[in-house]
Amino acid sequence: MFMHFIKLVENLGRWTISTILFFTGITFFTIKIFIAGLFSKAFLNPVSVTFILRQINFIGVELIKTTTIVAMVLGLAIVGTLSNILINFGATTSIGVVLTGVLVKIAAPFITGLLFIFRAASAIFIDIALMKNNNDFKALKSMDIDEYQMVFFPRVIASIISMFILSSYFILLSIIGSFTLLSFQLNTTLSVVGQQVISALQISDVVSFIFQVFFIGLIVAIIPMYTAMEQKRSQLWIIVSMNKSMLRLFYMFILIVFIGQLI
Amino acid sequence: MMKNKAITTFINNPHNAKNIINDLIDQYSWGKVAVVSEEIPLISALTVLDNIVLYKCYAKRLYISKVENEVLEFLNRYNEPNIIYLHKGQLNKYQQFIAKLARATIHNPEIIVINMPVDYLGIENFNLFVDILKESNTDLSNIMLIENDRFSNLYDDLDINKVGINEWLTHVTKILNLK
Repeated sequence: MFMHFIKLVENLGRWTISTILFFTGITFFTIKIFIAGLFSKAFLNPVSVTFILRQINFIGVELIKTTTIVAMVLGLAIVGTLSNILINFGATTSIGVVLTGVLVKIAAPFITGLLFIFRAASAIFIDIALMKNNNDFKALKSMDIDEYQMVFFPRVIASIISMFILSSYFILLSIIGSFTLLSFQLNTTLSVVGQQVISALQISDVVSFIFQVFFIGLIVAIIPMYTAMEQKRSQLWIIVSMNKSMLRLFYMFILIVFIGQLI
Repeated sequence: MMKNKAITTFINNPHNAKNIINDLIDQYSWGKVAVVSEEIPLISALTVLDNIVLYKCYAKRLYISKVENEVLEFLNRYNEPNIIYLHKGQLNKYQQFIAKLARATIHNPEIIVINMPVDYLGIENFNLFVDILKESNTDLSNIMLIENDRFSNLYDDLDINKVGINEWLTHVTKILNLK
């Protein structure tokens, strides 16, 4: 019994230390990326800009099709269910408030974030892990090219921009979807639905949306890159580290969504 | 003293060569010393075009598309224009060597160090490579070849000035410090 208790304390201590080390490491890694990217000669360098655009195309543009389908289906389902409940309770005037709360604060960052993790995080991890395994960073170093400026920074910026655009696109599609549905149920127009949503929009909703979108975009790029750079140069470690990366990402994602709801 | 011949130096010690390369890379920028070597691979996530022009475009703040024709011209001379948009994994050894040569020569560095078996090229392409170097601003006396004895047997008609490592290093240091 006592031995079990000792083991439990040991495990707890190990977990605490590794968590502290992880958060410290990832914070310094992030700061280093932003300093290298924003305060160096590489900022707005044509090569850097090209790489950012390519990354947006790679991780963001290819998700538009999926986001469209998911936003139409889930947006309609969420809005349909909610509006039915509100109509049944005779609270049709609250539709705007509920729509805004659900779409802007929860559905858009959460669903787009999940899609983004599935598509972008795994791709970024494999990209960086293979680069490390193939000794590509040595080639970059030999050519006096800082990997923080040319490899990490474009991915972080592309991830944040893509996440912001995709989430906004999700909201737009969901509003169009909800209008289609509400026009049948309440005989209303798009401008009425739009006005209801905009008038119900509060600063805290916008802040919560921006907070979630920014940090989800950030962690989707940072955590896979950081975990990939931690690994040893071996193919077996790529698989092990990928699982680790996805788990870390998932916990951070839940934490960000949770904090976003508190705002 | 060294003469300005086609290929100046020939060192028959790969282990020594590796250390020399690492020292040179640490001390001087890629703009001064460019290396064609197994140790400095092509970046697998980038196309051949990106690999070749990455340094040049980065240092001179150019868009990659601006120098695409220059690269195509280089690859055309080796009859390999089709590799321009391929990735490292899709290239054979010869094509990788061509891409690395292009990466080292395109920005006219002061010294080019070659530490790869040049027989990938064959005699015809090697002569072509020398011709291309002659057209560039790089002084031919500043090309360092590290190879084994097979090379001298293959290319015995080339004008190769074999010197010892100490003499070569003195020469290199003098050039790099002068500019």
